[in-house]
Amino acid sequence: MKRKFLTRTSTGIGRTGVRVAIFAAALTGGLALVSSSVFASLTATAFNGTPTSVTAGTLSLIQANNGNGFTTSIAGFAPGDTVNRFVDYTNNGTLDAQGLTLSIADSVTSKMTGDGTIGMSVLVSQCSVAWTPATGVCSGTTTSLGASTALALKTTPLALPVIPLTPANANILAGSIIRLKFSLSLPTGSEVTTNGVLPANTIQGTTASITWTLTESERNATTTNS
Amino acid sequence: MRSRLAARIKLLLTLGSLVGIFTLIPAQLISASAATGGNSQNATPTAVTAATFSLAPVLTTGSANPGAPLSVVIAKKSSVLFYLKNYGDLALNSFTLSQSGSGANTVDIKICTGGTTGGTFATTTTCANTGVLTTILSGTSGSSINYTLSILVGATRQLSETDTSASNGVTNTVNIAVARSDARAGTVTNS
Repeated sequence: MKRKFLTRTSTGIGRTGVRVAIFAAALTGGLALVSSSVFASLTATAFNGTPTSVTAGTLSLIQANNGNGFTTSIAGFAPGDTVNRFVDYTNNGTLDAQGLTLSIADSVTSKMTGDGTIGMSVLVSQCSVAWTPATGVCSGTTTSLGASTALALKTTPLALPVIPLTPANANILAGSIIRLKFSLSLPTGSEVTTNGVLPANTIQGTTASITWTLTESERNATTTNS
Repeated sequence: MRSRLAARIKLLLTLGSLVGIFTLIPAQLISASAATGGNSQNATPTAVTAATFSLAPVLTTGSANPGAPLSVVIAKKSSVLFYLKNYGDLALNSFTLSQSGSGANTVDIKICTGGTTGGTFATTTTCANTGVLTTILSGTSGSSINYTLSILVGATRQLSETDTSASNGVTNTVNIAVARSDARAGTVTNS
């Protein structure tokens, strides 16, 4: 039996050309194989039939005067006087909050809010139930939220550790009402007016225009597994 | 060829890692530092005005605040009338009166008390309406007294100054001072 073998032919392409062609074909095929394996894999998906409803919580603090509150002006404020004003704050958001602070701004540059010695001081108190503004009576439990402090010294917000203190980092519950009394006072001082001339560096006759800002912070972030 | 392909893949992996890092880092920073706060403030600022306590000696009830002591020339053994006027915002319960003059002059400062109409004088030496003439200060230059007398805001009270020395007329000066303790006491107001 006579076997036939393919014989190498000698054409114009030559041996080297054939090798290059074979290599190129192999490389192309390989790359095609590689690329198809990277970009054309099969996929399977699964999804929830009912979409996951996600709503972000809100943080909202609103105030309401109880009596005159902060709206009515204070005139004839004499050294030694104390004026009590009552304001309710409601955590009106959906999130619990924490860290209530008080900041004060005065649009009038005055000794009233700028002098730590003869200027106005504030003491904030909390009542567990509504204050009676006409008498200043708290028929529940009264808590002083810190000491009386000169407004001029409040270069940073004043922390108001409202009751309840717990749960920690979330003690201002959503929907809760914080009932506050602001006791504003001027120190008695030792000023003397002579022949109708007010003394130098006097608190007398000074004015202020005060904006009281209370700020609450969001409760600590939580991680929930469910 | 292989080494080029490997280098490109390596480059792609490096770029992917960098993109991942810059995507993740801001998210972590935000979640750590951007706590939400809510605040509330009064829409209308609270206007606060401090009171004044101010009393001055004047010659007429309608005088504007002179902002100065009252100097009067008093003839020998004669009297002049003057007023104390409350220019402040606070009612006064007392005041400190002092007098000074030239030489060795002596004067009496008098007031009408009681009576039916606020201590007015009928003449420089007599009280009107059954008032009683009362000396509140008598002495030489430099004498003073803290005298208890209610003077409402804007009100006046009449006094007389009488020369009691043997000099032929003197110029006498009355000074009036009021301290916080001369005005109403501090109050506590709830509203």
